[in-house]
Amino acid sequence: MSPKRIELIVSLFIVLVLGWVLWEARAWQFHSRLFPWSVGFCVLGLALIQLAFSLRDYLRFEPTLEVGPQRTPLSEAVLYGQVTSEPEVVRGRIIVICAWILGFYLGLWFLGFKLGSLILTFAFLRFTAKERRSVSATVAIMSYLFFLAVFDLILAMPLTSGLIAELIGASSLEAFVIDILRWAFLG
Amino acid sequence: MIEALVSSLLNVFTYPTFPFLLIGILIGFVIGILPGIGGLVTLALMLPFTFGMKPVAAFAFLLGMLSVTATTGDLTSILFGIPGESITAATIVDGHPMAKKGEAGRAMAAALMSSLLGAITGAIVLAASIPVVVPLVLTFKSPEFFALALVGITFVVSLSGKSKLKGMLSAGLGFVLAMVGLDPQSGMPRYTMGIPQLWDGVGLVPVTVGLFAIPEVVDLWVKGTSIAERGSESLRGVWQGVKDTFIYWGITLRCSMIGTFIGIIPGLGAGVSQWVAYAHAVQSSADKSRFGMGDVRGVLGPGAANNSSLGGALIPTIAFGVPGSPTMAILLGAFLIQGLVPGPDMLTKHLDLTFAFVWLIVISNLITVALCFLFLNQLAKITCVRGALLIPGILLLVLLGGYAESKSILDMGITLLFGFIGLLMVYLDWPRPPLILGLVLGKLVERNFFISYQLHGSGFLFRPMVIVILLIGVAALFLPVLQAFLSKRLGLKEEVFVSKED
Amino acid sequence: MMKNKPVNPVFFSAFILVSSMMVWARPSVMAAPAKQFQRSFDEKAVADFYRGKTVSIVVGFAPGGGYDIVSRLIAKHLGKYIPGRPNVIVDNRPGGGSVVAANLVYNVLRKDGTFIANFHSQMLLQQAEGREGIEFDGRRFDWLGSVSSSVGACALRRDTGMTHVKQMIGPSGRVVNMGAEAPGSGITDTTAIMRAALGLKFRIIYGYDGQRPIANGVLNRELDGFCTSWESFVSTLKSFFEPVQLLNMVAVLGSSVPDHPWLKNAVAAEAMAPNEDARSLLKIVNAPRRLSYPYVVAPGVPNDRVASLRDAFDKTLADPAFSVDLTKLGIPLEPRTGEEAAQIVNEILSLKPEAVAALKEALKRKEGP
Repeated sequence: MSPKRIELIVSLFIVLVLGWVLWEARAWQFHSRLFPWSVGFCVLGLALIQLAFSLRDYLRFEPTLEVGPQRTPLSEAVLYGQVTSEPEVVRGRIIVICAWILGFYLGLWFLGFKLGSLILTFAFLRFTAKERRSVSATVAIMSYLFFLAVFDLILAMPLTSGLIAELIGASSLEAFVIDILRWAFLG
Repeated sequence: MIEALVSSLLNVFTYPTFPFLLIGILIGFVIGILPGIGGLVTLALMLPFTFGMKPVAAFAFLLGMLSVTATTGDLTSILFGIPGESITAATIVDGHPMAKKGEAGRAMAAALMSSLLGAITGAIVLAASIPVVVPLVLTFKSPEFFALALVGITFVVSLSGKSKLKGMLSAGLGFVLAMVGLDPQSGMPRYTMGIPQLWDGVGLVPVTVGLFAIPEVVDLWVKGTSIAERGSESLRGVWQGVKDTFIYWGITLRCSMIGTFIGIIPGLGAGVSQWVAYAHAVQSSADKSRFGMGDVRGVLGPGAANNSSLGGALIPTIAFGVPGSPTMAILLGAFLIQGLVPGPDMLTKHLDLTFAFVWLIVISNLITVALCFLFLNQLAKITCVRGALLIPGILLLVLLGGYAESKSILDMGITLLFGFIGLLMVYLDWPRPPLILGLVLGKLVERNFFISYQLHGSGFLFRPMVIVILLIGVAALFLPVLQAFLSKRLGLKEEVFVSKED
Repeated sequence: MMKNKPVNPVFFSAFILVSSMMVWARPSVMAAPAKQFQRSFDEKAVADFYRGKTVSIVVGFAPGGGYDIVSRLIAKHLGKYIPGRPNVIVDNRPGGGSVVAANLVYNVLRKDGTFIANFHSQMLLQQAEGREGIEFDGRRFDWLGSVSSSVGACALRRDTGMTHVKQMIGPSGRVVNMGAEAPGSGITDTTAIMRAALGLKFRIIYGYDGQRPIANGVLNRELDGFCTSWESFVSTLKSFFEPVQLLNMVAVLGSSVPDHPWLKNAVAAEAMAPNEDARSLLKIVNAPRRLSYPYVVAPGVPNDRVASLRDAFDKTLADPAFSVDLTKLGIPLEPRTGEEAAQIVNEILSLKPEAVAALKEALKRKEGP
């Protein structure tokens, strides 16, 4: 999908979101409604102008996207056709890393910070970055120890042990596994 | 007064004050590198330890920690593009591109030196303003805060680069985002979708961390190299960074003043001053083209401002006992624990303690900067490590940053969401800083508007100070236009209006 | 001690299945709520449970605030009074004015006695008013007790010339600007109820972002005064009285005025109230302050452990080392046991519908006198 099409979709989406913002406030009393509506309608105006521009750009032949202050190799590679590697490769890498970012979020949510960082780090380095097993394991263990040392020992600021641990009623998955192992081997 | 100044300096180097200062600096250093766990949280966690300490030692410990976290926050902003603190987000805009160009050493050195100069300026202003601080702080009431916050949003214009429409839209969306939460007037939940965690609004830290850091993670993976694409420069780069601070001394000095004065005003702080300083650095330069792509002046400005705010924020805290920011509120707790009552006593009976604070800020910054310089080359080498090895660690720090403030998975999700939004914004060239500015200032604008209206009716807009502030805002908005116009019409060189530092 | 033969996979999987079913059927379903305030407990059984474990005090505010510091003080001492001497830590879960922490402990976190909730008792009043987002029932918590007790109090700037409430009542009364947050906060509710019950000519300026900006507003003279807890005036707001007195205390939200030099011209609102209805409204709004810094565990924790926690809590509050540290914070130690706390909670949450309606009417947003 070309940048122009994406920008058109985003501009449209913004208009719709602002519409919802204004709609939600319709039944509120005056004080609650004043700013959402006054700011909301102004921003809606700007958003409609932006929508018009992006529509015009989309229908036009030449690209007219302005060069902002944030050109990074990402935008350069994909946006301007000055690829540092082929567009399909770049697109593929973007999708992979976005999937991993989502994966890290879900992993930390379900497994907690200590165990989650261990497993996720190892998995990423070994299977996606194709690093050696020893390197992956070392970095993974270092991240586990980091969270253990800083948050459990030094700061006494407990981080989440993960949704799974919470659901099964254990203080952490490691404790649960150890309990099971202890039952299994020691009776 | 001179003897008080000298004796309090000597006092800093005694036992147990000096060791506690060092411990505070060390703890602040380690924790300050973690995003989301900033000066505020560290201070709060360490507060109970001060129960048994003597006053100067306790404050040496706490101020040592606070001074360091702003500095280390700049380092993670430059190296990884992760805001170590929400007050160091502006350093990313030019600092991280410098790291990518292989100039990490230069950027970090510039940030460190400007931080040091900023802190010293703040401390000097603190000491010098003791006689005049009372009328200064009391001049600013809710109508003036409203005007200041409104004018702050006009700085959006200079942060938008060439795409002004997108900049304004970005700021507007940030403003709308600020409306999420309990309505300050009626207590009614707005846009919270039934989630009590959103009653306090969308967190600034998760949004900032996600918006700036996640696109950098994507960028790092896509390009497949290390952070510094073509290798890092040598020790000479570090020395260049130090020199830059003095070459562009005007920007450094002016941004320090900006940070200090915004820090003095209760309600505003380094979160705002960093962007104002950045905007000023942009506006006062003739050649704006390199900003956003690794211009060292974009590092000097915020670097100076976010450290000078500490000294500024201490002024109302010490003078009135009314803290100028949440961080100061915690420091106030420390005052109470020590049995001190902040207020006029601090400027008379306990003047030596107040001067001790000044020295503590100066010395802890000196020590921190010295320590950082020792390790600067090693730190810069991180930018030469294979990107893939760093990505898990950076990603974990980013998600930690979103989670840690409220221990909330929802906040971590907000980091994720705004990470993808930030990615889209980079891809489509929408400027991101205005969104943050809209989020921060939007709440201030609304609250102060209603308070001013309830107190003064619509006449609040016609108060003299308000008119002055609004005029300044309008002038700042049209200054670039004015400069271009005058130079064309009158044949004057543009450099007359801008600094001669290019 | 390792067994010789390997674990039978069938038995192992069956074990997993059965034990997961057992932990899914959580204790809250199997045990009845402990309303009888059992005080005796089997010390050995409790010690066996707590040994080597960590007890978390879930605080509804961020590190550094009053609630956090008090909880950390309690955490410092509580462990040695619980059989088994577990490690006690503080787990901050800020959000929604501490509603998030209360909801969490009540609904989500394990109900085995390792989680103690510390939220703002103002939430009880919000529950009484039927506020959405509150997913707990204050009466069903097992109350360990509370640390302090306070009353609401109102003060006005000295240079307004207001020294007594009668200057603000009646046709010749002067209108004063009182700073407040949004309706629902302790500050705002106290100000509103004083106005409603006594007919004071308070013009409430809503929208301040906490006590700090309100104090600022008084300092720079855009506000005439404000109401908050008396405890705040003697601790964090001390600089308004020493060395120069900038505020006049004019009223307290109780039946009698505490004995203190700053309160010599203050009146007790309940004594001045014109009728019984007004008096009961004043009582209800102040009730949460009588439970300052409350500590509870979720319903469904085994009775033995609740009893031992109550016992440990009482002993902690009686510990001289604890009270010395607490005094440094300027917080008066006025402990309430679990039983006393539960009684006050019952008062707040057993209001008749007409009383609730009257309360909501008095507390809703209304600018002028």
